Amino acid sequence: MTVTDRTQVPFSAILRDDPAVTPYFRDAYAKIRYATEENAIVAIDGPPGTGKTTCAVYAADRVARPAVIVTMSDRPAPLDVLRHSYQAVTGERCGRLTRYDLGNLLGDTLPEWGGLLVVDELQNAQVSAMKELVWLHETTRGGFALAAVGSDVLEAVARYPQLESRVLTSATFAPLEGDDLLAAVGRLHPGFALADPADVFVHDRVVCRGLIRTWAHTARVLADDDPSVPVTGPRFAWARGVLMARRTA
Amino acid sequence: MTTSRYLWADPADHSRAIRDAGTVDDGVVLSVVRPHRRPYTFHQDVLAAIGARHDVRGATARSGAGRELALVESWLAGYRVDTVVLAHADMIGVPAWIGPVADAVEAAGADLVLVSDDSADGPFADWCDANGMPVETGLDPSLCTVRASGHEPPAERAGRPFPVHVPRAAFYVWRARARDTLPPADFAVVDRLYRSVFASVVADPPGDADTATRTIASLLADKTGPGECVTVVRATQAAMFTSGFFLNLVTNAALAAVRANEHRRLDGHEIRSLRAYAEPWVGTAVLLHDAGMEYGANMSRLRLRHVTPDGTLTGNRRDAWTFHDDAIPFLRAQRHLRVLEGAGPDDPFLARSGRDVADAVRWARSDLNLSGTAHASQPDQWVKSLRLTVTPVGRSR
Repeated sequence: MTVTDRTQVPFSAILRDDPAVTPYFRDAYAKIRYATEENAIVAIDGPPGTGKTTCAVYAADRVARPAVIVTMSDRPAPLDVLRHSYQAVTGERCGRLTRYDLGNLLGDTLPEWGGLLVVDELQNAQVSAMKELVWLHETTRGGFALAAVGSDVLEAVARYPQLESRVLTSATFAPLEGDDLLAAVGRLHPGFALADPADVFVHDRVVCRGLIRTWAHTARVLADDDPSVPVTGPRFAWARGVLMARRTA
Repeated sequence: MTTSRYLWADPADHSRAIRDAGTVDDGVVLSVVRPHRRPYTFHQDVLAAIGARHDVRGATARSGAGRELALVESWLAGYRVDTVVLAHADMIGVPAWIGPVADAVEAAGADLVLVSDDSADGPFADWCDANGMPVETGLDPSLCTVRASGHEPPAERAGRPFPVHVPRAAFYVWRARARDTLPPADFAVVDRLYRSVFASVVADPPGDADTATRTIASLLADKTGPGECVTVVRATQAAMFTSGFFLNLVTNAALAAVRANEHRRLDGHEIRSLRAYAEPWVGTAVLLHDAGMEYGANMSRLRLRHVTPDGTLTGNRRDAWTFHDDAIPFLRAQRHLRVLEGAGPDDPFLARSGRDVADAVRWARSDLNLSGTAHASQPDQWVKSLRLTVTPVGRSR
């Protein structure tokens, strides 16, 4: 475990078991590790529910460096990226520190720390936050690695070309299809691996739409089913009922 | 003839130029402009690029734009910097802030290079063009920032295998207590020093307090840790006891002296670390003190005419004071600043009180973890606080 501050890790990204490794996951994982070794900037894009943050947290836990996860809120305040990063890296609350002080302290701390800073939901941040991140990365002379994660994050970083041009590599997640889908869901619940593929695809078409997060919810609903028995069409239908009822509610 | 220009660079070249940039010792100062709405951050960042730190005493005081620019000019002149590079110059809040900095850079005889990878046109580029900073494209900014450094990296401090914490028991049980409480590897290190000191003192035991004081002072001269200090003191006491003398002294006084004083002058890396103080007088005061100057007898009598523009002392055997090469830029910067302040040849070089100078020396020791030299005229003054007595065993004290 190398994530030194888990307070900002989203609940949905906390893994209880091994992750469902998909081709997108594998690609993003390799690129995060590569960018970390290079102290570079990596962007992880993709629609909600495809496993971006789960992959980033998983990779951050396995790089041979300290790592922290910083999550931008829906409408972050101008200093949130500095405040959250400072709190995550140092473990101290920043109190009434000014933007100038926070920048100075992070500028001193980050190269000594030398870890991986994952900024989740960066697309919610304003351009000013991206300027701060570029300034920190440049003024520390690339003293740490940065992973920008979020839906449409590649489009978001394009709003500040100096950040976009400094992204060394990127990976894009997408909804799963075909054999990739069957392989991934089989890791979430052994009964899915034994199930009739037609039932799996029906369930996916109706409710999951290739999103690994919704498949994880399905596995949670059917967690009490015998894992050695294939999940049948009626059980999928029952799970759909539960999931759809939750959505209607 | 100095120049100011605006380079529009490829992003990869720009980042590389920042990453591989030289330091003020190499004649180049690179500051990455931060997004901020206050001009003082811009000035402070240039000072920080020279070496000023925000976490030392006095760093948070805001002295005003005029003073900040005078400090920038003085340091640039002191270090004879030839190029000042402002990377990500387009991040600056108001382009007009560049004007006064450009003037200070020019007055110090350096070139100013603004670098950006935003765009070769636009309001910022227009401002540069209108203010005598021609826009150049296609030039690698590394050519301005990367230098073949002549400075060796700071030497790693030698590992100190000697334990910091050792027992504080009386001398007659000290070795047994050390054997009981220290890990075997640590005890082996401690015992090696203990035996060595014991053997040397037993061979020639001091018979009176003055001789014992000199012996203790010489044994502690090269010791820098509290563990070593206690070991030396206890071994000396034990050795003298077996020779028929009871040695009594205030161990805490020896510990304080050892912690505060490594009895050596500052090395180049330590001198360069004094750039942490944006005001050159702090580093200059520490360096004059380090050279052995006393405030009343030497520093307060030093006038501007006694320091040449090259940073050497002249007249009345002042050239006898020796300075490390890395100390010269401090003297030049302080001289330049005094001239900017309007000081004449007969004005003090260091316009500060003795208390300020004493504070500066104390700040540097605690902020930068520097060692110090003993008082110039009384190098053994600290041993008086040992209150050492030697009593022949068998007689009442």
